[in-house]
Parts: sequence; structure tokens; C-alpha cells
Amino acid sequence: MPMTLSLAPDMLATIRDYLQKEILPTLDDDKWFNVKVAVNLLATIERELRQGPAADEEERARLAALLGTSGTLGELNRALALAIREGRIALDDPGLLDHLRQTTADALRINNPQWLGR
Amino acid sequence: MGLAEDLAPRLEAAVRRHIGAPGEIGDLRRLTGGATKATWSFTATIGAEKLPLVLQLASLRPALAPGDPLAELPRVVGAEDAAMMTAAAAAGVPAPPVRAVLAPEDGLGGGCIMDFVAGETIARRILREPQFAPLRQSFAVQCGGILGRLHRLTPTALPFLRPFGAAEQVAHYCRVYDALDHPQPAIELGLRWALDHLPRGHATAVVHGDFRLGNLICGGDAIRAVIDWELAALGDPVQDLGWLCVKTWRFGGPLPVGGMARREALLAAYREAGGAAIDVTHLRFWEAFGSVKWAIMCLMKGREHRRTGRSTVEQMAIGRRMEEPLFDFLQLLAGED
Repeated sequence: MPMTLSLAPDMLATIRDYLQKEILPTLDDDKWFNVKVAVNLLATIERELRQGPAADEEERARLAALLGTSGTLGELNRALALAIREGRIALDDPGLLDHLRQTTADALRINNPQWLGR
Repeated sequence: MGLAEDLAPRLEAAVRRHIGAPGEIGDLRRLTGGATKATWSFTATIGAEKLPLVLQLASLRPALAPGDPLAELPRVVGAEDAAMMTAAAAAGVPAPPVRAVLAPEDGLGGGCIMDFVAGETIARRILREPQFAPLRQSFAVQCGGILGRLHRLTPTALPFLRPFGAAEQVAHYCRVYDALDHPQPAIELGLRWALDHLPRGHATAVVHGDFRLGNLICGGDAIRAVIDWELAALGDPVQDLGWLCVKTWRFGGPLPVGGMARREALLAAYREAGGAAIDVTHLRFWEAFGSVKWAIMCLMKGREHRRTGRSTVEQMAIGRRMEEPLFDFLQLLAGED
């Protein structure tokens, strides 16, 4: 893609800002609620574009270390879920808990950063 | 039937049939439209009086494949919902007074007509606005009293309620999660933790099943009505108290009980109203499992468009909330409040 195009996260930020400042105040009830939720989702997509690739790569690396195997993020998550179900990893395994805390916190930094400060 | 124009004439006839003449309908307004029911507010002229009323209709559920675990959840709708609310009210639980149960000749499907209960359901306002300060002071005491009275209801009077105790409930959410086929290690951990920590031999009582802010119509100093009884079942009574304390349902408030009060105040009021003494570990089970359950519900919402082919902005947003309760669950495991 040409380097001159606006970057996707920047475009999203501009669209979000416009909806929030110019459109939202003109709406009521149901429409206000849905556009408000949509504005929040645009902010989520923006954060995902900026932070997602690094978070995914770190998650994948942690999973590979925990499981002692390699694979895609999806494959490794499936393998860990199965290991937990089959009791092959202890529920209080510190490595497991650290990994899950880190993973949910990284997801919250994208989906709802405010949750972490509560 | 989604349009007010189709609804009004049938509703008017139903009001005339069940409540009184002339039954003229006004101000028909849709309040909510959920997956299992829709509610409308309206006024009806009965004699010289104009009554504020609510119509609650059991809506048609999206078709689910036979054996789909999503179809198994006990749902109390229509005439059963009305019977549940009437029984709760008779036991001293504030519930919307039921005026009429719809009949087949009304042509509206299952449902009922209730008195309109004025008040606030939006948690953010109840937690922050000054006029609710007296309610916030006594919230735990009121909730404890309501649940204490509810849990003493005689189940035999409500034969349609299904058994849905701790073990059945965990098994149900395991099946729902499995059917979604979207492996999440944190949910897997939560479900295994729940199976390992199941409260054994718990008492069985009539439970509301979704007792939390959002389902309580509140005035400035009192809970005026408990609504949304569709998940009522025969279950572990502690479930209703634990669910009220789940972090998601604190809506950002600083304290455990609905964001407003300490657990001790809730448990003491519950005992005073005839409820059993509750062990804190037992309460924590339902708080922790409540978070896991809400995570599975978020996952379900986030995947719904794949199953039904329909998507809404709100559905997508709820899907993105899955990590909130999982983070809270992990905090609980680590011994944090």
C-alpha cells in the first residue's frame, strides 16, 4: 500500500471523533445508545491495531514456553485449554496463572483499559 | 409482530377482555426487546381512570438445533412468569403486580399485563445520583430481606420451576462453552475450579437467578420491584446473594454488594428475614463462578452472529467484555476482593 495513505488507526480516530462530537449530540434514546457503543468499539479497534500485534506475539511466546511446543496462537491456546481440562497442568501453577493474568490484562488494555484501574 | 401498530388493537381487546372497559390504549412504547421477551409500557383507560401498565410478551426464540445446550436453560416465561411474580409478591418480595395473564384468544402469544412500577433501573444513576443516597444506605439490608423472604417460598406452589443447583449449573455452562468451540484457557481454568469447589449438599430454594442491579426498579429510598424472573429456578439460595456481589454487577461501585455495601450487612439482613447462615467460602464460590458464567455469556454474545447470522453493535460490544470477569476471577483466586 502507498505510504501516503492515512494510517488505519488515525482514520479510525478521526471517524470516532467526528461521530462523538458532531453526531452523538443530535441523537436520542436507542440511536444515541447504539452510536455511543459504536464509538467505544471504534476506540477498541484503534487500540487493537496499535497494540494487538505485539500483545499477540508475546502471548504466543509465553504459550510456547509454558507448553514446550510451537504453533500458531490459536493452536497453542487450544492445546493449553485441553491441558487444563485434562488436569495435565495444575490449577495453581504459577506460570499458568501469570500467563493468564498477563493475557487478560493485555486484552483489557485493548478492550476496556479502565477495568484495570478498578 | 414488531410494530406498535399491529400490537395496539390486539392489546386493546386483551385489556377489555381481562381488565375492563373501555380499555383504550395510549402512549404505547417499547421498553426492552430481549432474546426471550419484549416489554412495552402503555396506558389503558378503565372506567374514568387511566392506568399505567406494562405488557410483557414472551418473544419467539431464534431456532436452535435439537440438543443445542443453549436451548436447555430453564426459562420462565408467559403465564409461568406471571405465576412466579404473583407468588413472590405474596411472600413479601416487591414484584410488579400482575393484572392479567394473556390467553390464546388474545392473539399475542404468551405473556402478561402488569402495573407500571415507576423508578430507576440504570445502575450508574442508582450508584451516583444524590436522590438515591438513602437507598444506597439501606441497599444491603433491603436485598437481604427480599432474598430471605424469597428463599422461604414453598417450591411446591410453583411446579414449573426446574432444578438448577450448583452442580447442574456448572455442568450446563460447561456444555454451553463446549458448544461454542472457542477454547479459552482462562474459562477452562474457571470451569475446572468450579467443579473442584462445588458446594456439596446445599439447600434448595426458589431462586431469582438474575438478582442484581439492572433488574431492580429503585426509588429514592426503596427497592420498588424485582423484575426479570425468567431465570427463576430451584437452586442453591446462596447463588442469588453471590451474583449480586459479582464485580461486573458492582458497576464500578467500591463495595461488594451491588457496589454499595459490605457482605456482612447483606448476610445479617438475610438471616434476620429467615434465611440461613451463610459461610463466606460458599458465597465466594458463587461470586467466582458468577464471573466465569458471565465470561461464557459474553463469549456466547460475541459468537452469536455466527450462529444466527444476525449481528448488532451491542452484541459485538458484549463479546469484547469477556476478559473483564476473567480478570476478576483471577484476582479472586489470588485472594483479592
